[in-house]
Amino acid sequence: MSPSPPGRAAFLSWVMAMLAVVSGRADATFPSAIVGRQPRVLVLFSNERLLPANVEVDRAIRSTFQSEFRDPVEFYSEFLDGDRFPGYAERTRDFLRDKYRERPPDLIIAGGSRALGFLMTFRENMLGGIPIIHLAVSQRSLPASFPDDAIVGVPLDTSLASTMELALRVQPETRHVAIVDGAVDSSSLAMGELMPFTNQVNLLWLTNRVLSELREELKTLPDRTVVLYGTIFRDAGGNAFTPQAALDQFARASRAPIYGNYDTYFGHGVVGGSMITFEAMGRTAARIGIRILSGQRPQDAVRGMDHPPAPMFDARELERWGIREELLPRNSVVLFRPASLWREHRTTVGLGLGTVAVQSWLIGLLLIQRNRRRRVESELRESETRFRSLAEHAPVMICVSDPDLKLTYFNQCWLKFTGRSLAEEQGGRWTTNVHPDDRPAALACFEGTRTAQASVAIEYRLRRQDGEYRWILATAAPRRGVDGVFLGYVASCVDLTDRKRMEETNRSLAHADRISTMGQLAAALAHELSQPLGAILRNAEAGELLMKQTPPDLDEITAILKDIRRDDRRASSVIDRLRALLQRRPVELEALDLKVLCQEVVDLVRPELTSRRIGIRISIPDDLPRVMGDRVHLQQVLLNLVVNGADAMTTTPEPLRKLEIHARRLDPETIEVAVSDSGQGIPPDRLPRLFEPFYTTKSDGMGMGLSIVRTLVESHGGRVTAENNPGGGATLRFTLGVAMESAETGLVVGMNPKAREAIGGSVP
Amino acid sequence: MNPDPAEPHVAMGASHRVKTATVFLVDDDASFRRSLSRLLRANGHVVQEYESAAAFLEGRPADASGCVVVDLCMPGQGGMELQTVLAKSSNPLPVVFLTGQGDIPTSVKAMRQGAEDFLTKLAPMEDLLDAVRRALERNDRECRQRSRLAELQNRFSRLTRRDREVLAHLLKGALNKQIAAALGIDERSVKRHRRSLMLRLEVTSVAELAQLAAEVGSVQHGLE
Repeated sequence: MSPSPPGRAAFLSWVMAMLAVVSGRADATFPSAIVGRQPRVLVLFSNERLLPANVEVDRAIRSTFQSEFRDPVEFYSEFLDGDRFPGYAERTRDFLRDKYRERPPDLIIAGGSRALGFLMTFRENMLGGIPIIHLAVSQRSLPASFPDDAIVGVPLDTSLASTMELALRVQPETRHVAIVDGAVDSSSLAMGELMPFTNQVNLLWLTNRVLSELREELKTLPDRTVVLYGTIFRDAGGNAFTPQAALDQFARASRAPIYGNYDTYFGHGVVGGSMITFEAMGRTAARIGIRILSGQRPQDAVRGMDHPPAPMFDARELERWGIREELLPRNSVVLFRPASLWREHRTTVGLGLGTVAVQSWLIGLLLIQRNRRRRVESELRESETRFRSLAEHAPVMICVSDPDLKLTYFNQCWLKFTGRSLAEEQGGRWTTNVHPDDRPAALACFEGTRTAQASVAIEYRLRRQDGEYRWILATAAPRRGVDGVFLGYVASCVDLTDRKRMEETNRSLAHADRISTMGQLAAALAHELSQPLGAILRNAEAGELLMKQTPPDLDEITAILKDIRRDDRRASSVIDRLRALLQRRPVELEALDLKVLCQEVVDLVRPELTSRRIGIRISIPDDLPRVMGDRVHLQQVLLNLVVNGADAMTTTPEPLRKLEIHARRLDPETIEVAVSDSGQGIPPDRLPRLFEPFYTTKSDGMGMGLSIVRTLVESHGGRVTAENNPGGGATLRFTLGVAMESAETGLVVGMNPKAREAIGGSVP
Repeated sequence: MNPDPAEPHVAMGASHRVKTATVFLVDDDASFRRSLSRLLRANGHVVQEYESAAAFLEGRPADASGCVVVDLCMPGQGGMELQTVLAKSSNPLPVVFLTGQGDIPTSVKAMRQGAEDFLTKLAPMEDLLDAVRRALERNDRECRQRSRLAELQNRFSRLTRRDREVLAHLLKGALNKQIAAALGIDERSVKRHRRSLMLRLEVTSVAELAQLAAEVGSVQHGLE
């Protein structure tokens, strides 16, 4: 899928712009002033093509143009090779004129004084007006003036003076300086430049020698000598060399370190010097050229351009001559550091070392962690062992399962229960023995442990080895890994069957007691019921008879019907109360007014009390807070206590038969109810066993009443006590929890924790 | 508690004539009392209601006539106690017991004490009315018997000591001669006593005398 042409052009120009940004051409690039074609730049070198200096200059020029000139340039290079081929100037001129007739250059860069001189000679008749930039031309080689102001350049400081200075600074012990140079005409100038140093050192002029001669002389240099090397292109014997080739001839033989001005000498035996790199020269010339091609006048273009020398050294030579680096000037550039990996490849080595350091640190960290983990693991193993030994012999069944409900551990108790061996049980699912009806709930519960924070508990039936299903209370706590991953759970199980049976028995007993208590009051209740029922019957009969009269007494009949209705309601309420008491019912907790509750019970019991001539009084303050409890159960408690009190007074003279019910607040959370009688009291030796089941002093009693009272009271979180009164008779007290009611809403919000806890358990 | 506004009509006549029978209803349950009262009145009875045994014992007329229908189980004095008191009194009205529950020991005890009947409050109307009727009849009978006894005792109180002695022998069937010999008086005195005691006892023959004596005995017995 290729974008449409306009789209593609836009995309491409975007790519080009990006590339331009990346390559840095977008910033500070000069545009060409030449319109319609590429500018042409001719670089004319004095010497041969492969002279290191030329190579460096040419490269620098081209790369500078590329990065700092916006438009592409056509470069042409020509090499005079004048040292080896003198006398070809005119023919070279013609050759060049012909060659470039069709492509006259817009700019010429002259490398070296010979090239410059060549161009000067033919300035008028061949190159009029074309800007010329010279480079690597020493100050003393420059003509006094140029024919026009289109010839500019930065002169090269070829003076050996700064190098001399540098050498003396770096080797302060120097006594002699041997000056090696080939250019005969420069030696006098050199002499002048170097004369100031004669105070410090002895100057040895080794110029204009034959190379072999020179070599011998250098071999026999005195101690504490340095050599200053200018250039040699031709020795005294007329042999032509590159300066580097010449160096190669004698540098090895020299007894003293050789200093030079040109960076192209490096690698040929030169220690260093105050150098201007040919690269810098080329760059400078190119920048001047760029400005000219951008439209600046040459005189303006050269303004401010410079390439100052910098101290440069060859590390190999430094080492060869034992020159200490501390003596080098601060801005020295030290090249060719061989064995020093650090210096050469600082970044790489740094990175490498850094990586190694980081890795070592990481390894160290890992080691520490491993040790720590080992320690923790051993501690874990220890605690695991401890757990195991505890669990193995615990009296409750313990099992551990993985997240898929597979059993991974179980203790003796468990195995004894299921009757299987370790091998048989291992890997099995714990649900296999759970009663089918209970399985879904149990599974759901244990699934819940995946996300649970605390342990969960559930009851279910589990089949024992004898095939019987036992009620089990299982408490499971989730196990979690280091990062909270669910590992399964640990469960402990208790056989509840006996307790459940006991609860069932208790429930039955409480129920039976209720019924039996009611049996005791059956007479009273039958009486209670027969009043309204009898009245209804008699009223109906009377009504029938009245209807037969003529005329019927309608007023009387109306009154009859009204009475019938009222008595029906009366009977219904009695039946309701009776039914409530006799029902087996779940516990219904509510906030109860004790005064009302006692009144209800007394109303129920009043006929019996009346027939026994027992007076009863309720003494409960109106502002007593409500209690939390089950209405029917508490009624049962009160009923039992009242009946007990009544039974205690059978031998008491009638006028003295008094029952009293008191209630008071013991503390912010507790209320005490007391039922007192004026009967025969409780024999002291019987007091401790009073609330035990089957304990009775009555010949016709089952002895369940008070034990039921204790069960019921304790299930409400209270306590029941009995004591004899100082003035005769006994008092039975029990405590109940205050219902905590929210002040704002008036709703019951709870009860004291003890009571709540107690009620949370089973209640008959 | 105020007695029933409908006052019993007092019939004038012989002292021993029975007054208009009133059914005295004693029950602490107002509703039941009212309903039973209605029923009894609808059956032509005269009813007087009392809310407690004490109220009845204190408030009943001294010469009350009729019967008492009483709830066995009441606060304070119960029905049984009321009957005990009544039985010992000079005007022991027959008692019909009503009860909310009917256990056998209580009923047996009540009947032994001389209750006319023992019914539950839910008993059928016929049984209730029948019991009341019987009680009233019994009251009637006993009243008559009492007044008869009173009269007879009055007659006998006229007799002197000697009269009684002669009577005793006469009742044994002794001749005048034998009585004279037994008492140590002459026959003429015996004849004289015979004549006076028969006059005092208002009998005209020895056969009647014997009847009278028998009657006294049985009435006394019947009233026990």
